[in-house]
Amino acid sequence: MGWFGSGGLRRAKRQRTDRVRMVTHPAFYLAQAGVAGFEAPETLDVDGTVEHFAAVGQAAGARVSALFQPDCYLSRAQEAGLEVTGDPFEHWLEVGWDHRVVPTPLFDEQWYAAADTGARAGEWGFEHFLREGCYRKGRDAGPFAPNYGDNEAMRARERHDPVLMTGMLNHAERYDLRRTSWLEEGVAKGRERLDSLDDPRVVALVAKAAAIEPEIMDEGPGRWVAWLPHLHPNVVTATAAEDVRRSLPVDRADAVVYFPDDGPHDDALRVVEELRSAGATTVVAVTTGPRSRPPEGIVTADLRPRLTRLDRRQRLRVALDVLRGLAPAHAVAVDNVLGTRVLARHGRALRTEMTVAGRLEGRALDLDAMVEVQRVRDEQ
Amino acid sequence: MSRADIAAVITAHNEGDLAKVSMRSLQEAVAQARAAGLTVEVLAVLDNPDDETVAAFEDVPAGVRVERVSFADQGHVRNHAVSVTDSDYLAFLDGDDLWTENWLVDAFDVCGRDPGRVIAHPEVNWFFGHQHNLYFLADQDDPEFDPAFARIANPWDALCMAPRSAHADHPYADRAVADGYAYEDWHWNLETLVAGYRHLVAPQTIHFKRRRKKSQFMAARDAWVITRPSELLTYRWWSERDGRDDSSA
Repeated sequence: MGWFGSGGLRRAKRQRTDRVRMVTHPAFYLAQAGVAGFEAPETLDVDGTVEHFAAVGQAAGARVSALFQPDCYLSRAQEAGLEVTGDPFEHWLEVGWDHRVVPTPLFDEQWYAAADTGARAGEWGFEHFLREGCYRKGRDAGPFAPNYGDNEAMRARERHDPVLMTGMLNHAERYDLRRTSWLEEGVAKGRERLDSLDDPRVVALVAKAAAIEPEIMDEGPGRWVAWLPHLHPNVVTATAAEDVRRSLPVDRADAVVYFPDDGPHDDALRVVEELRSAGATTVVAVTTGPRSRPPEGIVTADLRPRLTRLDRRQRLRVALDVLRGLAPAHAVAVDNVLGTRVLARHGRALRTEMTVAGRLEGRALDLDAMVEVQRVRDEQ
Repeated sequence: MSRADIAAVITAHNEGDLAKVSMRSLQEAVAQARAAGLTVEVLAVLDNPDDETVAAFEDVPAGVRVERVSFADQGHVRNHAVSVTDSDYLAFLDGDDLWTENWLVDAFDVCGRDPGRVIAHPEVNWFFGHQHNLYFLADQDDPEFDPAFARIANPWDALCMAPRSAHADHPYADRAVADGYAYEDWHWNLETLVAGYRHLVAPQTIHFKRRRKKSQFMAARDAWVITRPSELLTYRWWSERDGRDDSSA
């Protein structure tokens, strides 16, 4: 019998199970399949991921949690005076957790503690972040966190899909996700950048400026940090936009038609025929809705896989980028909400570059009125 | 009189006494530059200034030229400054911001890496006042910098040091929010990128940027305006660029 006794062992086992489940992030785990040399279904829920990880992924060195980075843990465990033997993840679950070792560069304990996060007095901030905070958009995880993403996925907490997943999976093809990711590399390098402000020459320069304007030293509620090329809210937007461009066989169109989000294509296909009859040789269809289908026989910019993790403003920018990128003479949105939004919101400018029109549920949209509404809103 | 190395230009509108703070910062950077052997011309351009701002520039040191204009357009103000100065490079400061005192010297050094073709930016924009954040700017030579970012957002602002030709050949466009266009500085960055200028960062330089409750940038963002058309926004330009990259590989 071990040092827990039989009841203690059961409690320890239950505790490990609870902890693994709490930190499991299916989308991140599944992104490692193939590259990490294991196979997995296309989708798994949280419990399915826990089981698959235990049976397959753990032995392949995969990470089940986006918020556990082995190298970071090993370094911080050593700083905490812990000797790690065996699998670092198992060691963290059994030992490091109780010593409150944060195993990721993405979370800043002091920053989180200073913010109004709803954590209970005495509660370990990182555990609160794992349980709740990571599923809420916001800036609480550290000075770089505003760049992690601003889009709460649908049922994010239920599906264990943290906001920062967008950055974790950016340029996923460039990284061995078992060890690191775009976001973790970015934060580590960003930390170096931030530390460079402690260089004596820089400190002296800032002090001289502060002698002129003391207000520059006021940190307010905390000074958050962005840096290009890694940590900026629109880095992932640019990646998505560039993916779309590179996926297209054309770099110019006579007309762009945003195809229906749902339902049949008949109206959109009629619009395409009208445009072709009017002399448009190259017509590009744009699909954006999760339930829309790419039409057959028409060059299609399929934005759907690129938009899933972007917020509303980012989606709009990608949809605008494809339009201005193709520089058509005509743009039409047919039963497409995002396309309609692009044409209505930016119609004032776009109408100096192309003709714009929209149809929704069989009726022509009064884009003039929509543009006017936008103009009045702007003036308010 | 021979052409100066740098024209240091401060622009103001309604900053009042805050402009005195910025002017002092500019003067310290100018003193450092002159001590390093550079010749510097100093110009203040006041665009429809209010009385407090006019007063802030009444006792500027000798050698500082003050001009009053009535454009109500920051881009036009900068274009005007280009037309009335005579220098190899221009550096702009907003009337409520500050530079670290090494800015003119260090930015000039960076520009000297490829004379006439480099636009220097500070390493950090340090926001204070209504916002408190740090923005480390991108260096175009950083292999991880994806220039496609410039299609989606503006990587740099206008408070850079640039060769005269970058301004003379690519003047700022009109600000036309009512027509749905703004972000003249973004557009200028696109145009200079297309023209082949390199946007580089001057290490250990900082611009302290005062954020008031609602900045011009935030107003433009909320108004859903976009930058004016540029070749760099078109896929055709990127295809040709890809071709150039492939052939040089």
